[in-house]
Amino acid sequence: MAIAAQQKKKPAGPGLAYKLRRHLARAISHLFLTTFAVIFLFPFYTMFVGSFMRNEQLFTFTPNIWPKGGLNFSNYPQLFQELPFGRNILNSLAVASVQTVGVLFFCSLAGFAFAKRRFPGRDVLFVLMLATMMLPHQSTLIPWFLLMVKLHWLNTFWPLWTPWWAPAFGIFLMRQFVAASIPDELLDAATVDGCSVFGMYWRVVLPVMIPGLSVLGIINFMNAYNDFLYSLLVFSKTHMYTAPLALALFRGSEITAPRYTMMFAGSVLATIPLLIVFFAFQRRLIEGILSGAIKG
Amino acid sequence: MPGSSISEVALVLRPTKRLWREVWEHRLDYLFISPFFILFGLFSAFPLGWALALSFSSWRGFGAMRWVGLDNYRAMVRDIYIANALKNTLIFAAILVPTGIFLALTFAVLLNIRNLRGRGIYRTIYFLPYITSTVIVAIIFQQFLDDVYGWINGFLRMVGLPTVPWLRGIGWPKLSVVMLCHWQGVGYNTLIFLGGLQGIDPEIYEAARIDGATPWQIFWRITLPLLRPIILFVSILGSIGVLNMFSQPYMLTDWRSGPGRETITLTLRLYQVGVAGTRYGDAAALGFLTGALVIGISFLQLRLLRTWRQ
Repeated sequence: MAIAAQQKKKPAGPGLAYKLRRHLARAISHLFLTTFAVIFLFPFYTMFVGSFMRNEQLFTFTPNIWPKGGLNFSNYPQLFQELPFGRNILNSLAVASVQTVGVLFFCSLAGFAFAKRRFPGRDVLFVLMLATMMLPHQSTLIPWFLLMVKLHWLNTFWPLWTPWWAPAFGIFLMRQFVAASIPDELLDAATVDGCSVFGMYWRVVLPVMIPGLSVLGIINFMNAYNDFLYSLLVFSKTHMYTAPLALALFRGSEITAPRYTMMFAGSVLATIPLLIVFFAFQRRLIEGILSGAIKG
Repeated sequence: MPGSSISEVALVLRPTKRLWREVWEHRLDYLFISPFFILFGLFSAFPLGWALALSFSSWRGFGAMRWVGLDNYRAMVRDIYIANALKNTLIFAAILVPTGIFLALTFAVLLNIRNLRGRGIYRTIYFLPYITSTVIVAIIFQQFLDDVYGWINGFLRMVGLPTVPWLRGIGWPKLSVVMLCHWQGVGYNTLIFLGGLQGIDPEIYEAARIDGATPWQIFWRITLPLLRPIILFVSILGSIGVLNMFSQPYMLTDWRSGPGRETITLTLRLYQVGVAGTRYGDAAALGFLTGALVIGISFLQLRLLRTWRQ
């Protein structure tokens, strides 16, 4: 046995140093990657544990990895006493889901038309649309806000829904996806079968587009759920606040101290819905980014 | 001759007539693509025109707009807060974009090691901060970076080093914002680079190895040049992100009044002037400055990376 093993190893002899080096390199890589995994995860841990701490447990000279004197569950009821936080999270979900449904519908519809339909001016309009992506948002931020005032849309969801429903980038993405994944023959067959144009979109194109739609959908959902600047502009009533805005209330000011235990409890609650969505679509999302489909 | 002139007219008319008929036949297709053009016109093009008019006027939200010519732009050039915000924004871009690419590329190369165990888990963990709201990330970082009770200063004290005024001192708040941005964003760029690395044909590496190239040479001579389009993409998007930077300094630091106002960015100043200060004319002018900067820097990078050859 031993001889056999030795004999087996012998031809690889010169490569042993190389093999060892490779193993060492691999171990160092793992050490490096794991260190950073801890750096990326640890703050989430402190947020979670911090939400079960009292102020005096949180503010100790050497930070506590586990609260001295056990966990404390009073932050969550306290949070709901001071803010309509359930409503705030629902607001975030409403903003994100309605915006995303609109984005998916309008982008896939336009993407289908740009990819598969032939009509005068199609390519010019497509290039025109792409060109608008160069336009920076900052230049229009103030008049956009003033427009919302004029439309009496402040403290409603409309400013975070309607203007964002047909992003050029999403249409571009969907066009590429339709062009790559739906053969013309499929659509020709549908036409022969007497399918209307909308029926073609609804019954033939949409089902095939589900992978592309889910990637666009989750990216859009995450961005909308986490939006801060535009929500800050349009919401001034606490019951209309989205979760990030509500959390920012506990930030304190020149005269009041920030209240971390409240913010941690709220952060945990606000993160949960997004984590559920993320883990449900994680494979599709990560594959979508890896394949270069989503770059934005 | 009347007859021939009528047929001539018909000849000229027929193509446009046919075009209109064709357009009418495809009305459904135009309907399908119309949401973009309607929404863009209403919520981007119209505000843009309005911004242009505002930037030459003085208006505080009521009464008539008063034409002031280039006054807003002149005032902008002289505004020391804007100069400071511009400086900060450019410093942020100069630090964040290259270091961000370096970090993401390092992670991506390591995650691309053949048969790496746990690649999926690493990927997920690195990506998690990206899906977390900036507000929440900033809250966590504030507690981490607290002068007295924070984790980092606690650690520094433990190993006997002097503590650091992360959120209040000179220079440090900028570093804190940089750390926050990297912590939150590096996972996304890592995935994009990883996608690029996985798209490189392994046979190219094999051929280079047979020719006796070291891993280092392979990286510099093959991998990096092949990743050029992705590096360009990440750096342009990164710069746009930095020039848009708002919620990170807004939530993390004392951007309004901290010593030296180290973390006030152009978008924060825009918010301060336009929304909080209701000086709409000044804000519109500032919006155009920022917009011009975004476009200018994007083109610059496009040129730089196009000429970069290895």
